[in-house]
Amino acid sequence: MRRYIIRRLIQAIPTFLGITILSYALMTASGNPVRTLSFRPGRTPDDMERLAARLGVNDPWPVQYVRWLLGDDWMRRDTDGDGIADTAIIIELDADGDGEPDPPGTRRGVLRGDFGNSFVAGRPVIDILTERFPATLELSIAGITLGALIGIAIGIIAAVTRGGMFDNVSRVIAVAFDAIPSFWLSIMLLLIFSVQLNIFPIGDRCGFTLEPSCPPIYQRLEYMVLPVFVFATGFIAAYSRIMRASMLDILNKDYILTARAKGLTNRSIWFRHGARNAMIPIATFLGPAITSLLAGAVIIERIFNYPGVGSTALNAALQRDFPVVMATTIYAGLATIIGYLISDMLYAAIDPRIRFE
Amino acid sequence: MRKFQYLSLAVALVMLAAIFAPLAVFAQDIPPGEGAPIIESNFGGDITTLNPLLVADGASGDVTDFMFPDFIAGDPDTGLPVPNGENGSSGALVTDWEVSEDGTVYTFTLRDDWTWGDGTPITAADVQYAWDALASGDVDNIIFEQLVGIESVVADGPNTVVVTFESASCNALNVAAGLPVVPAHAYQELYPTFADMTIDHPNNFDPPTTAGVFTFSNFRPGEQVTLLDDQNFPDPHLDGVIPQAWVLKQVADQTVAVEQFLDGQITLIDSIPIDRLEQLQELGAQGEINFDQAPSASWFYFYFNLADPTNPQDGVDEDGNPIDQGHHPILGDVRVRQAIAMSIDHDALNEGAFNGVSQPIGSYELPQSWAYNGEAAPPWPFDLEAAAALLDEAGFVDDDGDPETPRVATEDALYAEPGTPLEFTLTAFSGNNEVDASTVLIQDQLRRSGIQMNLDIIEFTSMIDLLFSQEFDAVVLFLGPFDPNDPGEVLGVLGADADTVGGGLNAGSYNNPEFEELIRTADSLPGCDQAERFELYSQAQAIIRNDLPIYLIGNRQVPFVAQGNVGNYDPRPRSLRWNIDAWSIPSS
Repeated sequence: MRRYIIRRLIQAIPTFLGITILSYALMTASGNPVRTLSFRPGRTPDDMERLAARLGVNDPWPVQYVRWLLGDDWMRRDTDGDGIADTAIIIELDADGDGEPDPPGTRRGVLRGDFGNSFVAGRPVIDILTERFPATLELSIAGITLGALIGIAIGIIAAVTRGGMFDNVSRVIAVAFDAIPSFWLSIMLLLIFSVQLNIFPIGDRCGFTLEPSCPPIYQRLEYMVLPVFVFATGFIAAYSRIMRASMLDILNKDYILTARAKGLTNRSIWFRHGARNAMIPIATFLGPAITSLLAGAVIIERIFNYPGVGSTALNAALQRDFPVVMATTIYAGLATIIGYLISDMLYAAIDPRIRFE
Repeated sequence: MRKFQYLSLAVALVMLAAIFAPLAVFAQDIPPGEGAPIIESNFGGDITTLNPLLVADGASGDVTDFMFPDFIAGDPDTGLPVPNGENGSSGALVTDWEVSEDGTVYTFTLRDDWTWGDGTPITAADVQYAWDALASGDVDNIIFEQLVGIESVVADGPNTVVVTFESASCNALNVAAGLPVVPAHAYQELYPTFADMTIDHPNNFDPPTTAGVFTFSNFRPGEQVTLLDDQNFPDPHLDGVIPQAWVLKQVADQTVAVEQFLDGQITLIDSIPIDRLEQLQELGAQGEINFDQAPSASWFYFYFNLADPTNPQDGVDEDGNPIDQGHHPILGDVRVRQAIAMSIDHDALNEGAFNGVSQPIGSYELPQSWAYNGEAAPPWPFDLEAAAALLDEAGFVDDDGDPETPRVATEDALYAEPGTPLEFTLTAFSGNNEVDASTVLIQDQLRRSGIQMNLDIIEFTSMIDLLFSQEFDAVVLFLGPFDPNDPGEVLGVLGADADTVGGGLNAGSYNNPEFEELIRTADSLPGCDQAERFELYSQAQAIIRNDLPIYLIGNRQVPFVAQGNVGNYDPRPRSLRWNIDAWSIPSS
């Protein structure tokens, strides 16, 4: 198992690099961020030029990518220790064209753990994402858990009551949950349950407080109900369909007939013999589920005013905040790779016949 | 005799009323620090710093404004710099100033009764330190570029600051008012060198000490910034700072802000979406909330490209000589631009797109500026006949008898080839209801004059790229905020120096030496006589009005609302929060 995991992680490296190159190329093709960052009266073209040089966004995109990946502390260096850069490779010694050498490079690059500073906030990207990560995590874990529990339960009950009222209704609901866009559902739920009925708060992660942090989750559950429900709908739909199909397949197996012949109770047949084996395909769905977390979070966090990674990613993309966009891309890429790995491992854990050799 | 006694009594009563009038205006029924928190909304990004020298965004500026002293106060009615305390102003250091004969040296006298939160007196050294840091070139900031023309700032003793300008400027006082004040003693300890003052410094969100209406409490990224009352504030309008706290709360957008306001979660919204105007106006009329409007400090306008969009050039070369930029085949002719202006029915636009809050405007100056002259630059009238006559004169004729198909150029057209249809593309940005509605209406209105305006709606950042490339016909923009006290600011948008491909805000390539000369003369007029300057600025406004390098779609009244239970809420023309320390909201 360990060898398999290591092999998968090594295989992930080129995939990961491919994702970052493609993302970087697309992002830089979207235009120069300096123009929007400094769009205000009183700003001169010289100001823009200086800002562009400082951010390094005037360089060709492959140079920008290499700087992002490997840093620039080796590109523009101070070899004699006088605090002024005196040698440069790949990039110019005087990038802003003011006749003076620019300061020595200080960025170490993503491969050395330096994600750079946000163009907009000026702060280290890693700090920004670390601040936002808990909010996304609490939403997504709650959403997946709720979705899995309800979806699996519905799938099992639908399978054992095949053709009945519950089966038909649950299938219609699953299709509806799949078809309804999450942004629309979010807005409708907010309008109905928050604005009209005043049952739940109008967005936010917690109620007003002067304290430096939100209260613990158990004291602010009402703020999580709507966003978690929207998060969960997609999983409920997917899990219930997969579980129903898998369960139906299992219930027709010979060993289930044998179990019936032995006089076992329905509960024992469904849950002890049927459901456990029917869960195997569910495990394979976990990878894509984790991948979809960020995509879902972008919309849901935005609408419910939840301060997570998703809303940060959306704002960064709109503002062309390249370092933040790239960091969230890495986050999504890693989530995908790890999600599929966990999926494979769960597969083996549930079905002892599966080995990785 | 009795008559005289009655008169004396009446005079005495009037005098008593005058003495107690301020107390009547600011009723204090809540003790200092015990008013409910004031909660405002922010739907931009998070704050980026609490160091006033590094502020580059609106939210950070809003927060630090409450935590640090102003150098010179602004009059709440006019916005003009005034000695602290005049006309209700507060929270500034300067109590008086003198100007040298040549108008280049300003000597400011500072108050001596204010200390930082750690007990250290606030002195001239705090102003000089801030200037030294900004001017050092080691601190990455955008404030220095706004302190245009300042040569030096020197502390002459603890209560005197001498500001020297490179040359006499009538805007000098306004510029000096932008000097920040920071605790030099604490900053010198925190930042051993100016180069250490970076936006990723560990103390960026942990100010060492402050002095203002409020003091910093905490920052929850993506959620809120919380400031607490500072009873050390020396200029309270009542016995102390009444609100317990001021909170800037992050919300997704204006719609959410309005819903949370209606739910009582937000105290004040200073910009509300147009589609909620009627509802909030009604609540205001019923007395449930405070509803007010103020003129916008931004332009909402069409930017016409006057130069050849297929061969963009800078306005001037390195020596300042004009560069031949060619002409836009359609919009290069001022008569066409004037015909466009006269084909737009502002009343219909106001009703259909702006919910009745827009005023037609012909001047680029904001109506709240002392330099605004609506008579010199009146709005263009809606006059289809005059527009048709102008287009005929410009050589664009209706060749098929159908007024709604585009006219075509004849040999008389100035820059268009014969047969060229009277057609151009307006690029607009997506996601703004007013832009969507107004551009569609204008498109329809222009069609009646035989002008085909094609609409190209793209994402905002892409439109900015297009604007700076100068390869557009026309774009629609919001630009601002402008400072109503600095009429010379317009050169940054319509001056030849700002006509730079790839970055200049004069992307439409307007170049008029006469206009620039008027502005420069008014900016540096010896003696700075305001009436004379007004006359010069009026002439400049008339030139732009007639040349029409930009078409101002209208000046919006920006509605703002506050909860009905905010005591002592008293917005004034140039300051909504001038007496925020006295706002009293009962704690529920």
